[in-house]
Amino acid sequence: MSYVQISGVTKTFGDVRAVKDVSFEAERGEFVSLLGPSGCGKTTTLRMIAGLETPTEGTIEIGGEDVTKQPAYERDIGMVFQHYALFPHKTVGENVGFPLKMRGVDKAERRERVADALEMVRLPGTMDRSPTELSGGQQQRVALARALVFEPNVLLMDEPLSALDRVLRQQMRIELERIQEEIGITTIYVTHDQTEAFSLSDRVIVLDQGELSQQGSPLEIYENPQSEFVGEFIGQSTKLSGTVTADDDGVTLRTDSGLSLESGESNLTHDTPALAFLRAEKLSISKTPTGAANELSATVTTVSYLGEKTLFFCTLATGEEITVAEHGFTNVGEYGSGDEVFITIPEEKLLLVEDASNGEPA
Amino acid sequence: MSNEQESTGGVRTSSAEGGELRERVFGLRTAVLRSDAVTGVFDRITGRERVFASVQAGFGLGWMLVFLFAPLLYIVSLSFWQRGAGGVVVQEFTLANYEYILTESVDLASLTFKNLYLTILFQSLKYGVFVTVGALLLGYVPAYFLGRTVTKWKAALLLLVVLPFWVPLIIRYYAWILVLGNQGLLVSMLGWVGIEASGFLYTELAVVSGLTQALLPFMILPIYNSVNEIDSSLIESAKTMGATPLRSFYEVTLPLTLPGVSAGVILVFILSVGSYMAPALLGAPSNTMVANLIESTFGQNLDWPLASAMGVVYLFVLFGLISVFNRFVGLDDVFGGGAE
Amino acid sequence: MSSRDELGWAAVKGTTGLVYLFLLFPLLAVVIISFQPSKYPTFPPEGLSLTWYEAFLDSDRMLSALTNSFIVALGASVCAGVVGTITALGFVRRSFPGKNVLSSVLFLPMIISPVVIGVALTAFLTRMGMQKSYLLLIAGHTTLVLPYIFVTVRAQLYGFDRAVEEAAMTLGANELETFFEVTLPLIAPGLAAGMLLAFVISFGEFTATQFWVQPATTTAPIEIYTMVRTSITPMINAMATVLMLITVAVPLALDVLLGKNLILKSGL
Repeated sequence: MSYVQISGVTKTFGDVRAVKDVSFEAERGEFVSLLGPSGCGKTTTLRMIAGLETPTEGTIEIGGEDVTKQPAYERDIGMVFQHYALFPHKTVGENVGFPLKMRGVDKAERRERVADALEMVRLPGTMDRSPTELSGGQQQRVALARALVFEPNVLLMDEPLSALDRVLRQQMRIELERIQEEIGITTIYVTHDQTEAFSLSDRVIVLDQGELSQQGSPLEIYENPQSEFVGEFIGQSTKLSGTVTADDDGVTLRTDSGLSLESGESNLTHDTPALAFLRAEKLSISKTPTGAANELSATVTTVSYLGEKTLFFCTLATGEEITVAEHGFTNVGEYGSGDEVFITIPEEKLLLVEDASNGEPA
Repeated sequence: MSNEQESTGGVRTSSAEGGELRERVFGLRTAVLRSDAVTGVFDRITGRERVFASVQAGFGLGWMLVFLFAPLLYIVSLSFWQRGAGGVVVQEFTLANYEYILTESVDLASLTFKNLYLTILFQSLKYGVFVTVGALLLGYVPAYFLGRTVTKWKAALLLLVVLPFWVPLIIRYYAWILVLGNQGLLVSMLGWVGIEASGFLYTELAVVSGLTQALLPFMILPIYNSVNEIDSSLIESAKTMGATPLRSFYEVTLPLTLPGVSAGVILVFILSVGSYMAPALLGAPSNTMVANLIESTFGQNLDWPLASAMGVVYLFVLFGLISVFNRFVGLDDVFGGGAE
Repeated sequence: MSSRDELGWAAVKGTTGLVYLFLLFPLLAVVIISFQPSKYPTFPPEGLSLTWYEAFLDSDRMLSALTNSFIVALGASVCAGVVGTITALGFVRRSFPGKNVLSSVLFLPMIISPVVIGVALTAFLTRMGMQKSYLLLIAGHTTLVLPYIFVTVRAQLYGFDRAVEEAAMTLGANELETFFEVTLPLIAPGLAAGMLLAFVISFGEFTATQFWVQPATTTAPIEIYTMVRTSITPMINAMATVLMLITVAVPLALDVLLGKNLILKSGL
């Protein structure tokens, strides 16, 4: 039996269904991310787990106990908010000590545990300072210490890094990973940032318009998207639609524009309408034909050199726009807009997803 | 507000005892707040947003119901009864009070009423217009100055506008008596420069200027707020496009301050029409306004039903004015806007 | 800046100065004259004395009126503080039908002539068989000052980050604990400013109060009015100056001492 169990949860605000029949679970000590664009219902789901919203339907269980109707303050959950939500009228020490005070922990012990918690988030000696004097990154550490100091059963985080700048975000991400590993607390993390979700999580749950779209390890989500939404939302890819032909030689996607792309393994059956997601970094570009199976000719539109990688925006001979990413590419100078190029898709790396729109003819 | 500074934060050994006491108080408070009686109430109403809303908002609305609406409704019913001997209220339905107030004829040629109440109501509205125009003329420029100035004294200057508002009205009007009276400061000052004068008190001018001074902050503050909100680059850009200062004021500043002006005008007009103290202290009997007439009918003549009828007619006029104003500016904007 | 701009700005400055004179001169005159020994104000001022302050301090009537004003103003501002805060919470935090119209209702005591409010409440409570007392005065004044608390607290609540309250709840504080630990301290500036304003307004209220007082509960403004209407004695200047000290200087000093500038920030 899993530690946190969300079963068939639906949340309606007036006429709007923010969350539709979502079920998932988290094992003890597991780090689970809810990933999706804004408005996908991930924050609402988290708030229901915290007890800040009551589900319209469905149940939430923590540690085998049904907490659906329990108010937030009875749930023993630590939560980190997007904009820290520190109490501006209390010192850092009083902020971190607050959950302990609410639990009737006496002053001496409180002080000790607050010091330990601040030590853990690497902010020792800040106890008597006002949170408003701290930087954004430090404030978020205080918020984390406050959410963990009372050793809650579950840690919830709502886009905790989104208010920080890029460098800080990366540092905090590593810090978060370290702390979560250190104390091994069951964590549910909400984010719209794929990098955060993938680097931190054991398991990623992708939400789309209030519905659970796919869940799995970061690897599974990335390598094996099972819906059009996941294919498009995760990574940078070019989408081609067509129909699957399966015969003894293997599986081939015939695109609506007339291309024929060979695919390695696929469980799609003959004549299924399907979508191919061509991940930018899995494609390679060259000036001369290589003779590989899935080779497409194209014209370069723009070359964009980003340092660690270079993006080529091209147009296929059949008219589709396609993006290719090459890492550590140094002969950028050889490519310019208007050049004829050849793009290769390794057949084992062609991602095919059944087209849910049922392939009306283009 | 004692915030729990003792908690885990500071080392404040000197207040250790006080800290302990507070700790104990806190413990007690926790016990109360966590008691079944308290949490039970929450459990029962959790998720019932409406119940909470009506309980909370109901505090103030309930208060108004008991101490404002019920009394106002009561004087409506009182206005249909009659004064008996010695001020006793005779509870018999009659329209006599309203007849007395309203039915006397109006002489359209001279626009005078042959009826005391209507004459005075009209006079109140007239004074209201005078005061509003006066306050607008006097208030706009200082409001503009306060909104545009960059001096470090701005906060202090603003405070000086607000300060008179805190001084009891009775003192503000008394100050005018002291200045304008027969043996007042103004007479004394004029005498010093060789001009003989007797007092200026107990005139229409005294009432209007006293009221104007008293209500001026209500005109200055909303206009100041709207001037303050104008992005100064708007005015700059008007100037770069060749507008003269006067032209750019007329084309840019003035239209943008109209919300503030209308809020100020509504407030000052409504407040001045209902004024009691200015005519009572600064005016002659001929400068009486509605509020004074109601007071004397109620307090001196002890004719509560008639005073009630007068009050009801005043309320009708007031709410009529408000509903007209409401078409242009929401009342909530007038009152709530200034403080945000 | 062109010379025409400068000329215009100088005119604006000059006019502003004159209006300030109009606004403040009479009050200043009262303060200055209160220190003069003569019975009538003279110009230029002659001499300096505390005669009228002594007379004022010797007057039991004045002192008891001042005490009454203090009791009533304190009672009304505390009472309105509690009612107004809860009401503002209901209006800002909850949604219910007719909210806008109902919030206008709370502003009515500001715009209806205090004579009508005074008459109506007196007539109504007499009908209910209630005697005139401190309680009536405090209840009446609470009605008159409630809008000011409502406005200032509401403004404070609009700028309030509710995540802070939610954080407190997830950390183990129930609704009431959250209110006392988090909400109240954070709306305290607005509430304090509103209560100060309420105190000052109640302290100086005359028009409605004249219907509600009885000899034992006579307040300072009523006493001054009686003196002004019967015989103007320079003692009024002293009393008026003391009243101004209470309603203006003390709140200002508090504001500066606490270093919060609550009053300035609150907008009124």
